[in-house]
Amino acid sequence: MSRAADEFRQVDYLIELAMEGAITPDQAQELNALILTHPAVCRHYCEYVQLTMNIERLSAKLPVTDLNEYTTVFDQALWDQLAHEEMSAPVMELPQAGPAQRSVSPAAQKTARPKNKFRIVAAMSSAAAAVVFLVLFARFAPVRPGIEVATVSDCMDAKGKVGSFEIGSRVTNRLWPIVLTSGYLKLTFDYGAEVILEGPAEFQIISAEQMRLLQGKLTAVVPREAVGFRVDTPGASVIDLGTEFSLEVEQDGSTSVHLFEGNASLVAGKPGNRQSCPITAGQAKQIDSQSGKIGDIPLTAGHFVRRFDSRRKTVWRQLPRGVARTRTAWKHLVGYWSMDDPASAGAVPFGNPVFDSVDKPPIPGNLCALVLDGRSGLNTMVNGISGTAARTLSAWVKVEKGTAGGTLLSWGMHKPGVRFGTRATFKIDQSGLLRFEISDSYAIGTAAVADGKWHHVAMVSEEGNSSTAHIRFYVDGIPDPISDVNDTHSINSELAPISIGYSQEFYNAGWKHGMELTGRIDEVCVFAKALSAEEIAMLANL
Amino acid sequence: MDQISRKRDAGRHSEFVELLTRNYYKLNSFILTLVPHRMDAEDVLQSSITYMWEHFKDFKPDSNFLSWAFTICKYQVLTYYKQQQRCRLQFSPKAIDIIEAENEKVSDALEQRYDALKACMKHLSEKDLTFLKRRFVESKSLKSLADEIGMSVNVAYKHLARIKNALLRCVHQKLDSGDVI
Repeated sequence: MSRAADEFRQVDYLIELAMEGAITPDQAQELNALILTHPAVCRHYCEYVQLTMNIERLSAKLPVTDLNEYTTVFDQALWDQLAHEEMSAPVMELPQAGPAQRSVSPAAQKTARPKNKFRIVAAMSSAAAAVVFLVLFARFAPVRPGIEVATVSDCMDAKGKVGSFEIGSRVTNRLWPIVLTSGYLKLTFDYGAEVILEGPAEFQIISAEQMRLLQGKLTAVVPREAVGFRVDTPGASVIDLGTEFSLEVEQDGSTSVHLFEGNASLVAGKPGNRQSCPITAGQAKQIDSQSGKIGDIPLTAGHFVRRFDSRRKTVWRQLPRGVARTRTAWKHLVGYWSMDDPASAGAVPFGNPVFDSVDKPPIPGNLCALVLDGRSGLNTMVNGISGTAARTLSAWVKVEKGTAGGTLLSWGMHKPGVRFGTRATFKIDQSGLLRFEISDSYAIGTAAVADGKWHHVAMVSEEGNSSTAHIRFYVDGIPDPISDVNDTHSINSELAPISIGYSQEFYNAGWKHGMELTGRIDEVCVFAKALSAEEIAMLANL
Repeated sequence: MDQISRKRDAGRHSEFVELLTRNYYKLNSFILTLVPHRMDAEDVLQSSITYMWEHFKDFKPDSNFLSWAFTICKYQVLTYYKQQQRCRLQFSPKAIDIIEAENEKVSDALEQRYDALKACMKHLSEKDLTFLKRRFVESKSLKSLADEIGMSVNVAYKHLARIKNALLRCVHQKLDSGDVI
């Protein structure tokens, strides 16, 4: 074999090593020297690299080989033979003419669908191993521009630099950024991840499992089937492990990530000097744009748009814990009081309610609970559920043993002398049991919750249910059977503002015993939907 | 922002998109020659495109976009080299100049080579095509591919190089014979 042929073969070998990231410093020097001393080698080098890129382009249009093909073609004996032959193989020539052994037809292109390897890996590997694989796979996968990978599933006042966005329109991956100048945009990626962008923002769609945020804010909601969804920023990558997180990229490129649910992996720093760390629910991290260093910051509640609904013109910046893991519960959320921000409780204080940041429910990221003294409460401006419409009321409560219980949530008229009037009241009774009452009707649960510990409590009534006998109670996410009931009167509640704890209504009516809650309450939610047992369990942080 | 400014911005955006789309693979190929490792090249390409987008206002419409973009890519590669002191493959300044000059010539016919390659791929044996698909469609590293099929990594490197060289010669022949316009 000629010396030139030897050199070319050596160059090919070195290029392949370099492309794999496996070249040693000595081999790198050898390649550099060969390129400097032989113009033909340099030409060959450029052509070889270009050819490799073109093979990748073509590969993007080839269907993924199926399993049968593996077993047919990857016969071990055949490969053993190949391995042996390769040691002294002559230069290979392709036939000049003849029928194609394998054509790449448009039909084949149409049927090709990228395999979602993330699902397989997530199912088979530990989370840590999955992260490593996901990063490597995502980085290897070539960008194939022009493929539809997501859908605009909602938009509200969304304006782009080159026009408006339309619900239902398909989004292709692009090599250039999309500019959202104002409004809200929700993209649903084909593998299931949902991303909510708040203008102004600049972002790039890379694939059905990957995007890039160049500036602005987003919230990503990643269901189990889309685990592995990745968002890159100029200084970091967040790889989701089934969660909800928000990201903000500042003008200087610094990134902050806030994790509301689940787990994720954060990779930061420049290529070759990356560091990674896991993030869990309730944590927030900031990545310095210059150094790439990761630091802890407080989780910022209310800073990001967590959900929006263009039909209802509603934007949610805070969501109850657990709702992020439910597909649709948030759409039926009528009211939510996190009690985390005393300056903005979303209600008018009655009496002297106090916000306490020390004794609070065991929820990651929770900041404060509301302390009630039996004469205090919050009068909200949110109407409760009327008539016999579906409803779910839930809250975290802590009531000391021996106290007389009291009202958690109530709304409607409370007529003096007509017992409970038409005020719908969800409360803890004098025995420490859950109780829902309206007019003379009531239902009472079984488990005592007045024991000085934090409990998640909930009551559910199905659409059209008029009997207190058919409501459902839950304590700590577990069904709590009804122990006593009176359903003389129908559940027919009024459309009236909700009160939390003791209220102006009770005060005006002169009620004193049984309504004055002394204890702590937090994460109060009202849904216009009868949540399922699974959804209640999620709210209870199970 | 007034309406005229908005229209002008929208027009510039479209212009950028068009120019980038037309020259994307030439830029990608250029970066790969200087940073052959796919993952790192992707980083450099992304940062180059972002930089171009941010500085497109400085690009004069009647000047040569490709030349402007190559300069930015080269600058981004050099920045990457600086950041990656421990990077195993860093071409010397002289080698970069030689590669840049050669790449300019090679990139002229990039699309013709692509068309020729499409035709040449049809002549590959089933076995070699499958090898390429597992390497590129499934994005398997050569090491994992070699492990799976029980050959040494070196043999896998050589086999891949042999397939590529066969394709390269086929592409040359097609271009020389005028099969591809």
